[in-house]
Amino acid sequence: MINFRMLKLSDLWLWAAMSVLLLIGLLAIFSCTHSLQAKFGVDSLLFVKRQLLSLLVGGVGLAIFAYFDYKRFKKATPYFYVGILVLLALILFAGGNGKSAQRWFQLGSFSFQPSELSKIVMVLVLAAFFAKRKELKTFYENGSLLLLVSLPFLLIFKQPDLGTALVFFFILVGMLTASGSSTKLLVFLVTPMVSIMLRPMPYVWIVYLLAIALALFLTRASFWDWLFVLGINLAVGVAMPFIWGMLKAYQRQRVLVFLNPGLDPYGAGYHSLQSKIAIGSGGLFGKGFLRGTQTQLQFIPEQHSDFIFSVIGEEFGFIGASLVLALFAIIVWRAVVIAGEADTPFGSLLAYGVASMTAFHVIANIGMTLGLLPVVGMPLPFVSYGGSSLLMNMISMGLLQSISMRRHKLIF
Amino acid sequence: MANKNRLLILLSFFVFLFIVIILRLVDVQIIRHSFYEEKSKGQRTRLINLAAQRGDIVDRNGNILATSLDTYSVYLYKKGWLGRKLSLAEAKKLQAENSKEISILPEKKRVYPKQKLLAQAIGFVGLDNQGLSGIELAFDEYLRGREGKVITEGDPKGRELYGALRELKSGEDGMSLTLTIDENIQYVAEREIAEQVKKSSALSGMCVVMDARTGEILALASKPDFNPNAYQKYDKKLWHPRFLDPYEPGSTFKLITVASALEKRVVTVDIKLKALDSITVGGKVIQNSHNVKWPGGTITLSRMLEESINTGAVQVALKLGKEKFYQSIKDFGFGHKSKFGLWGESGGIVNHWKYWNQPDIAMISFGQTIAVTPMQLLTAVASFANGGYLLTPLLVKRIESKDGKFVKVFSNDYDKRVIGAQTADWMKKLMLNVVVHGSGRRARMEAFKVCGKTGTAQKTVPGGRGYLKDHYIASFIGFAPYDNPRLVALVIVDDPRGGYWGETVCGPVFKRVVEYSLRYLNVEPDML
Repeated sequence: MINFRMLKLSDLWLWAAMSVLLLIGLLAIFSCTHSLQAKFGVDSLLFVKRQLLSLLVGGVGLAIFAYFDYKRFKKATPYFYVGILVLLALILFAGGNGKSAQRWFQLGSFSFQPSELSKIVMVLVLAAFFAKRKELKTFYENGSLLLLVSLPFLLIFKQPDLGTALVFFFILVGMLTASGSSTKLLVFLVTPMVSIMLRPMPYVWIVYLLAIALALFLTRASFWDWLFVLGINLAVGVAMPFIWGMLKAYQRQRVLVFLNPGLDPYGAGYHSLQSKIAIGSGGLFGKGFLRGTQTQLQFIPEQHSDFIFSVIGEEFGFIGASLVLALFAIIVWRAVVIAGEADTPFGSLLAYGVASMTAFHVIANIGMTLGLLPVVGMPLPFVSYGGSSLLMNMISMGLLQSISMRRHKLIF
Repeated sequence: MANKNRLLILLSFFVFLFIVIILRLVDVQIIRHSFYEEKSKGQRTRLINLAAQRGDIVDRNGNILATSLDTYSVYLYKKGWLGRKLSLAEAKKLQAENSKEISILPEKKRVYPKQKLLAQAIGFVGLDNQGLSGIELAFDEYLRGREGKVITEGDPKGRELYGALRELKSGEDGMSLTLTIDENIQYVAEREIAEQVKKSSALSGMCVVMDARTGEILALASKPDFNPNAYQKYDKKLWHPRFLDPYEPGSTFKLITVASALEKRVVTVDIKLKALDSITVGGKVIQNSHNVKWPGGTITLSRMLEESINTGAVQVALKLGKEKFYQSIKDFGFGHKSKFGLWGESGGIVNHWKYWNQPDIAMISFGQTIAVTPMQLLTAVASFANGGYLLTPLLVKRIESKDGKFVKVFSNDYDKRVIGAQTADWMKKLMLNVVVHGSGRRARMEAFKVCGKTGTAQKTVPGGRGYLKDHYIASFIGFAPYDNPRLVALVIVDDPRGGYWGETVCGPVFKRVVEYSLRYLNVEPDML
């Protein structure tokens, strides 16, 4: 299914950026875990070895998805979709004592997080959905899209995994934008999101609703548009206090602390503050590999996974942190280029989906470590410790390479 | 397929967010770098100050009054100090009871081997060896030395890093202080005044002995007092050096009235004053404190002092007039802080003559409606003894650093003459007569001629106007020997019960303390 000429068409920028990020990730993981292991008398390379093993699994995933023509997976999307729904449903009933979140299956000493894989499945499913329909016109089409996204979304929300739920939302917005579907639909999706953010300030929210009404009036919107747009915004605003009540205490706390960082310096704000101290104290050139005091003394919880960027910021400084950002920019840029040159709309949408997803991960994760965004569990692609995330991201890269290699009809 | 404009919007959205992140990185890592670096350092390091060797305080003969001992303090990174200034055995025991991460750090502890001796003047120090009261406070910058600094590091769980504890700066020993106090005279003064306070059921008592020639204070007894080794166990009021506070001197102040009049030449030493039972000044009737039999229509200046006759003192003051009297009082040092070294000293209460009420000139002539400190009265009277010089009372003789590179010596430079030698000589004679013939007779000594004056002042209503009935401050001031005065001493007993006259309450204390001191100092007797 693959030959040398096709390999030449694979994207070298993508290979390079991914490889360097993987390497930086391994270094950062080693830096923040070696002393921890030494303290407990375990192998100081334990985390690195596990990550290497995940890398091997991820590499296999990448190879498989790059090797086969991505168009083959289009037909398989319903199976992926049902498969992931089953896994997500299983996990809700499989484990957890009701108090702590249950997000993974335990396989021996390895754990597996279906919510990570669900992200790429969502990209595949939405790409297949939009490839068939240029514009969503009928109520049925809109409804089926809503159902398609809502099912896994609700299952993940129930876990609860706020980070993944948000990724879903942005994948959807990104792909809607790329698919050329109607502006109205985007407005339907995006304006309620803003409503959610403004709802805690009632007066601002009311002004916002009036602004929407003005926009509708100026664009001479139909009665149904008025009904839908204002209706959904009002509904969200009214429902929000109830949804707020459904959130877990720690999730509420995190959102509150995000809105007011001085609220709780030693509680939920602790992550954010410690992360900023680590990154800020790194300065321009960083404190040097294995020499970051905040990292080595473990001031930051979850440093090897969600807060890995603080290790890079502290030990490699602004130079290292910007390099990582640049590498991600390359990946997003190549994904967009591949999308533009793809031979089918499905491939194009798939590449845009991967671009949106990756970009959102990077922005949300780094924004969180810099105190720009609330702390939600979201790994940094290729860099954070964790097999499921790595596998999902490498499959995404496999898909991108597959699209890239098949962008022109090959002449034999 | 995809709408190009839409994709552009999506892409620019990503680019915008990436730029926001880059700007944030610049902000956090470059612009505010030093702020976060400080935070990072502050989070993991702890600076521990170790009390240094505080300078010793010794008396004029080198007897130790305050010194420092080697002790051990126990530090745990997680909790801070577990115990401070313990013996080595106690520290080891504490270490054994807790985890291995405990450090034992050497510290110096202040001790006062003579216990209560001179307590109010010496004061005491806090846990960090900082001076909190008395000489320890006033001379803290010399005594304290430099604290040793130890730095350590730990992780957020409060675990100290292995081997992180290290000395940043070793401590520097403080300077030693030599006082003018003589331990032996101090001891006798304390013993005698304590006994009198007890006998009279008085509130408190003081006995200050000064070298009339040099201004050096040899004893500064104040009872009741406290033990500076356990100062927390005593009432805070007992910590305060009582001799810094003002009091109404009563009849001892007649000496100042007479000396001022003689020096200003408004009276001669052989003036005859009218013998009056009462005198009216500014509408106020002033009476003598006791009935006196009048052999004639007049009395001498000497008799006025011997029998402490208020109406006589008033006549002398009226001859002076307000302005001259006031000026002279100020010249004698009243109304100014004597600056003998301790903090919180009062300057006394001397109103400007322009603000005196009509009867005030009469009241002041026998030491009421004026407040002075013991040090002021002592130095004023010392001028009679030393030929007219107003000295600064000295409590500290010498400050010396351990290596001897810094030495500061305190002495009087005799640049302020307050009265002429003739006036001083008259005052000596008048005061001698008080002891030989008058109210000072209980201060007579076997081998020394004594000059003195008693005082019995009514106590003022605290915080209010007027005087309390049956509450007095009894006092005696004097010097000896007459021929070549060496010691001047002031004895004050606050609110004695039973007998309240300065003569009976304070005279004998003066006699015992000064007589002992003169013999102890091998002063040549002038009475054979």
